[in-house]
Amino acid sequence: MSDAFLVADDVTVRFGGLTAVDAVSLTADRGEVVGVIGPNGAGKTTLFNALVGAVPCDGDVRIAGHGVVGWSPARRARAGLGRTFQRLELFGSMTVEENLRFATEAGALSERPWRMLARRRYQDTDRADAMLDRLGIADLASTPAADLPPGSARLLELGRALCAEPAVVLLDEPSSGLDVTETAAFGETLRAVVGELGIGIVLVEHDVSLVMSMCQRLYVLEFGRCIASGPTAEVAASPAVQEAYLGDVAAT
Amino acid sequence: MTDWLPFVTSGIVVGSVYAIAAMGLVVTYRTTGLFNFAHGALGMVVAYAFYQLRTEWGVPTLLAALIALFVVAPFMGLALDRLLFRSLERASQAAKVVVTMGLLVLLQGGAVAVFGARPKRVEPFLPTGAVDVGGVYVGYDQMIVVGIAVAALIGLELFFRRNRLGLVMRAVVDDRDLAEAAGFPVGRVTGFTWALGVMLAGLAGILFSPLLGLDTITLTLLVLQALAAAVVGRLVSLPITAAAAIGLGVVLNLSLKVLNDYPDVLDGVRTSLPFLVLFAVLVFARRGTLRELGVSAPWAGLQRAEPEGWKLLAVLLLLTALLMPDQRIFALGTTLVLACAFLSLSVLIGSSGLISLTQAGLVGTGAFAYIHLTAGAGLPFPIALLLAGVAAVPLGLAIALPALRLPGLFLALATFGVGQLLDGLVFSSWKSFSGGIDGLRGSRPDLLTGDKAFAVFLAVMVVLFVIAIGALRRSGLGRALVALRDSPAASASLGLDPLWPRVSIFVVSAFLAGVAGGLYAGHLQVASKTFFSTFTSLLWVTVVVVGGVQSVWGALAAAFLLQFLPDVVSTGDPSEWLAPIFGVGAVLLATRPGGLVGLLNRYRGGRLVGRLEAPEPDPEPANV
Repeated sequence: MSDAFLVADDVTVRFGGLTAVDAVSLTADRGEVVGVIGPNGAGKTTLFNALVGAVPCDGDVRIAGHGVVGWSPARRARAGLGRTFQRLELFGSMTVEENLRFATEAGALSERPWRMLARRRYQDTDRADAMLDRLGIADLASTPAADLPPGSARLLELGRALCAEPAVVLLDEPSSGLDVTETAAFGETLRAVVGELGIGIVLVEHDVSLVMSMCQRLYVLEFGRCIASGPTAEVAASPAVQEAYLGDVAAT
Repeated sequence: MTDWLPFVTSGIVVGSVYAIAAMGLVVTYRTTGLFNFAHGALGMVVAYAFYQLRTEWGVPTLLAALIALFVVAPFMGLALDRLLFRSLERASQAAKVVVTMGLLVLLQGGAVAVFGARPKRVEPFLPTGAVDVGGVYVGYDQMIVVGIAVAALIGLELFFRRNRLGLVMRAVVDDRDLAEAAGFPVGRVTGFTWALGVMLAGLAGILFSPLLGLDTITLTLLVLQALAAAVVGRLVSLPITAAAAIGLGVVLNLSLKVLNDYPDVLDGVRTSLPFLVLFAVLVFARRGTLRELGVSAPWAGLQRAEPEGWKLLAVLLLLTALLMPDQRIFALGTTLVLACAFLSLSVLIGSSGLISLTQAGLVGTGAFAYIHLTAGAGLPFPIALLLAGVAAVPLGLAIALPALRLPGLFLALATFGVGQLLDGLVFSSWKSFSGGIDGLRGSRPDLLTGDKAFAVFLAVMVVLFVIAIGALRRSGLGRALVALRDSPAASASLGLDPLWPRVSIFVVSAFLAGVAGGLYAGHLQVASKTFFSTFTSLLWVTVVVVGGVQSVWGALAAAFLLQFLPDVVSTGDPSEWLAPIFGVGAVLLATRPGGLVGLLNRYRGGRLVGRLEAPEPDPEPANV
């Protein structure tokens, strides 16, 4: 078995009679960007939900060598598995800055709950401030997150996930709701940040150019099953994948 | 055996009426995702319309029933859908709960204003006479009631399975946007649903009126009996709901016979039984089987907590207490006690967005504990006050338990259950603790025996509450609660467990409520269970949300409006006209979580209260 940071083995999710994810295996390690692609309804988001523990699944999920079946989503997050959401899940009533600052302390608060009463102010603001600069949204620091335009909101969600210092982050369609320029800018920032922090990324994404330019390896899902996996160029060239998903876009 | 059968038959009859009401709840919830706390109150209004037509205006019984059920009820349903419920489609679950509770308060208060509080006798309208069925006499009226319930169940089931409109109704709640995009007449569907729901509530109300007499409270609280059955059916299944309702009716009636020899316990157990069922189902249900239907946003718009400005508040309150003329000082004291109770509730709702319907019971527990600790155990005043707070904490934990695993609506229902159990099993049955219906006499410490001295002390306590709440909101706990309120999924993705924040806030809220109860017993020098009913809790939540939960000023405003103002301007019973006003307020404001204080701020060009007192510059100014 692989000794990568995140290992999923034969993960299967059933909703009643429907098998949304069918025996999918996947690995992701620090420093690599892995893509998960497939048409709508292929089970990509459900796979993410199973990996973080938001929906129950059969099969084995391991984080840093620990079998995490039965762990809560919060515990898996503290073990180093972060995520973002296809439908934005920001803390709307907090400012941009507070979103990031809270991310730096959330895990610690759960590990030592008595600190919740003691800590009046944020203890460590450096990490959040650095992230603001890195993402280029420092001028929005005191804007309530609910009022952000989509481009900045996606960046903030990425930044918030990174502020929790994960080893591997699952990004669920980070470009949805963004236009072409914004997507390009997001890709640029993502590349820079990931290179700098040396974390691993699992990317679910419809934007083919973002996937092709970012990912070293790809997994292709269709109807919940993994129909192909391997290095990006190889997978993209396979006729089955082109037919199922990439179509003409990859060929051009 | 023949001794028991009459109890079983009449239990089936009562249960059938519960079933009709409960099916109405289920039908509306599963089509619109809106749980209607005012369901019973709507049935009550229809029953009053029936009474008015038949008894006051002399309309023949059948015609009166037809008009009430097929004109009045659908009209109310359609009107509510158009005017109120549609604007709630995407509101938070908390806002939905508060709005329908506001509607309950409004309808109940309105009915008292129009028809008076005195119960009306309703002549039986179903044929009398009975047949002998295997040794038991079964009345024709009983058979008719059961027949109606069975017909309603079969009719609704067929409708949902076969009829096209029924299928569309199922589609609407699964995905409203998709249903709309597919060209289904979503608006007509929800209107039809509410018409149907009010008709079922009205039918239950009319059938009940000759059995129980007609008064505004009993039928309004019919929603509670129906609720337990509907929750057994997971708020989705009609047959299970109907079966549970009938089972409940039978068990309740059998308990009459079994407990006949223990009249003291009888009342408490009988009223509590449905809530034992309700609470057990909610707490022990398998995870995921209780699903909230429909879209619901987090309580967005519950923006940043306003700075509490306790220094200005301290000056204001102390001056008020010192300068208040003697004939008003007692009323001021009562207001300040209520302010403490409201603060204990507002810190919970404001920081976590969770609704608890047990607060009056927690305050009552504190009040009784205080009296036993001072008069009984002879403990010094400050210690008794602290321990009164501690006494309420186990109950806070009992509510926190379901809070960990239930989504907002079901949590509100569970806390409702706890409140009713507390009322029925503890306050009503344990008479040495609560003093029964007469209550217990309390006392004040020697230093504070005068009304003025005690009022000044209460003002200090309010300020202490405000300071404590401010500290909590700025603490890590406060931030964790806001995060969990805004997005539980994102909180988990950052490693934040809901366990400790949720447990802590319920414990803090319960402790403050218990202390408020001690203050209550000290100020009024009497405490009786009648002050601490679940209906009071319900009114409090409505009033506190109307006042505004994002700052402590909202709770204070609510206390002054509910308690002090009526005392000054009116000599009659102010609750008659005040409750409906707050009902309207809740209906209008629950979607504006800022409440009255928030509205004031908005219309005065920004942050009125914040600007008036801002004791120190806000380190992170909000761009609201």
